[in-house]
Amino acid sequence: MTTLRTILIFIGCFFTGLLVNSCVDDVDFDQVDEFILEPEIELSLAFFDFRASDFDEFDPGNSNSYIDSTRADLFSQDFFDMNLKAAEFTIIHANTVERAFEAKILFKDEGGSVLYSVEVDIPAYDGEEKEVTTLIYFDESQIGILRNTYTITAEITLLPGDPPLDATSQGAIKFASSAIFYMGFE
Amino acid sequence: MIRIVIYILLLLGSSMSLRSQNKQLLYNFREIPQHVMVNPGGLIHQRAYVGVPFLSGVSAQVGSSGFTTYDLFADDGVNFNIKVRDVLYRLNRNDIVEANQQLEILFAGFKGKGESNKNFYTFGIYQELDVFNFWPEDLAFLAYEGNAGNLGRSYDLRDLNGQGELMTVFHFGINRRVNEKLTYGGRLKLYSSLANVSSVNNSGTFITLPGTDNVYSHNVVADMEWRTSGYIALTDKEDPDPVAKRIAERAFFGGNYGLGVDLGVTYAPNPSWTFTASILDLGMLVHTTDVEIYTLKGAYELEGIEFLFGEETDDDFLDDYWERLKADLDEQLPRDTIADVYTSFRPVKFNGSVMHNFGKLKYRKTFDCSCDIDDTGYENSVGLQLYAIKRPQHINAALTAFYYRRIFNFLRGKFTYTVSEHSFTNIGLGISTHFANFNFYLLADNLLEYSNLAQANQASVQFGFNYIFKGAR
Repeated sequence: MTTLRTILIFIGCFFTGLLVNSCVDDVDFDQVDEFILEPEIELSLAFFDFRASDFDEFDPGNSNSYIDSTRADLFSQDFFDMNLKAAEFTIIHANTVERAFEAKILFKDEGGSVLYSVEVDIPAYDGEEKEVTTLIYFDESQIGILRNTYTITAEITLLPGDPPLDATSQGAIKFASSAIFYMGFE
Repeated sequence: MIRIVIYILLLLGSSMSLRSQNKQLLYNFREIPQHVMVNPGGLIHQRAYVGVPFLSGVSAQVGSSGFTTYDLFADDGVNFNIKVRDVLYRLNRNDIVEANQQLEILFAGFKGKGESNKNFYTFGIYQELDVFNFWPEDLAFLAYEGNAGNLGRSYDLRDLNGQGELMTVFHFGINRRVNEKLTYGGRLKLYSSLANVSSVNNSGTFITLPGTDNVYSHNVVADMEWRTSGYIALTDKEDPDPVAKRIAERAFFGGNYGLGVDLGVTYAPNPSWTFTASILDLGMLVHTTDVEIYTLKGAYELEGIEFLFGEETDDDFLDDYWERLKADLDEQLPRDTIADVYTSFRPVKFNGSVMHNFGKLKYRKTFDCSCDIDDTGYENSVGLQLYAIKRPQHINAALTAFYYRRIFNFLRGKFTYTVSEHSFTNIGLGISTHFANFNFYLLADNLLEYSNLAQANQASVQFGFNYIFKGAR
């Protein structure tokens, strides 16, 4: 009978173990409310390049300034609009033309008003490539600028100086850009 | 939305198994009528039985291989985001998140007419939910970290690899005892799928490299597919009916069907040794109703938008590079939604065992209990069982050592120790009791974890009630 009692006690423990002791303790599922997903997305943006000969000052048909725009309502799309917390733009100008340039980047709203502008002076090539890197940081309080941006305009202007550029002038002015978008999904 | 998705994923993951659907306690447990569901060629000694509807077989298994509920939700004052990060960096693409649940709606079996009839027939209906995912390592990292600071890292899109199905299964099986040594059996299954989602056999990469014209070059090559059937009807927001009602309406005949078979054999060359094997769910479904397949196929390289400055297209010099980029992306990397017939395969399962029987023979005959239970054979068995399940691009296997004991006429027990590639501490215990003509069984594994289920990587429990008719087969 001792064996029987032992077995019954064992079975009793088994049931008790499953039904009573099978607990899930010390957990708090509400913690999920604290969860925030914060990926950092790095994207190439716009780029362009001009040869020195594109600014041929002896060709009356040429301009010393070029301007172009694109619609860019990327930031008003839901994905960015709802979740963009901050953004850092990197703008790189690399000059191998023996003349200085002035570059402008304009963020405009739907009505064409300038919301934000960046101006960059690029020195002339002197035997060494002139690379100018500009960083622009939009924190949470400035993200509205990006959300309201409808077009982005890039402008590059050859500044007065020497030597004059002609159809055979060497070198190029290059523009590259990228951004890191700091997202926050709650 | 993202919180809900993460929540579901974590909850599924944190409560789920490495050997889901391994019914190592039920296998070869011949006092439990349902053991024939894991080996149609198993030894059946009863004359007839019928399960208590909806209560004859309830099983649930949940598990994850890399983390537990406790890892994430422990009330320990540690910031939840830090815990998520720790878990995320510990998991890899071989980790599994899975759940399986079955509910027997109807189950019965009876011996063929005539004393010399060698056949035993079983039939029934059960409902099954099966969810299986490999941890999408690279996609999870991409979503968690983003691509910033990961220049040159190639994200493997193959990591999207998972499936889920909710179905009702109608089955009919024949078990034939050829002679004392050999028993074999087969079961035909009709699958009726309520909902199926699957995304397997994906391929492709996403990588960010230093660009030629711009700072970075982003490259995507993708051949991906996400297939669903029945899912749209269940998630249709326009439908005024509650989801539960929609499920109920489609529970038995959802419109997507399939066929499958189970096969099994038992060979006992002498009373001391028994060998068994079974193969389950060798079958497929054809999805024709309420189907939606999402595809992403193509290749795209992006360095950004090139300003051309050439054409002064209008007063504002406005070129729609952005729209062109989007159109180009859609053309090179088209996303399609198609409604087409597709097939899905059930996860095939294999069981095999070798069992040595020993101890007193028929000694319980000296007891006289009013219960009606098989009393042939030895009182003890020990053995090894092998279980394997075919999952997308992977076979999961587990090895079980067991000890089975006829404790009393009204009580039989089985003790198991199971090892799999993810767990070495899985101890299980199952009992089958007989009072009057009723059989009740309870099988549970991972007993070491029951003191705090939240810390368990996986857990499973099965139980059920059956009515056993008098007389032996």
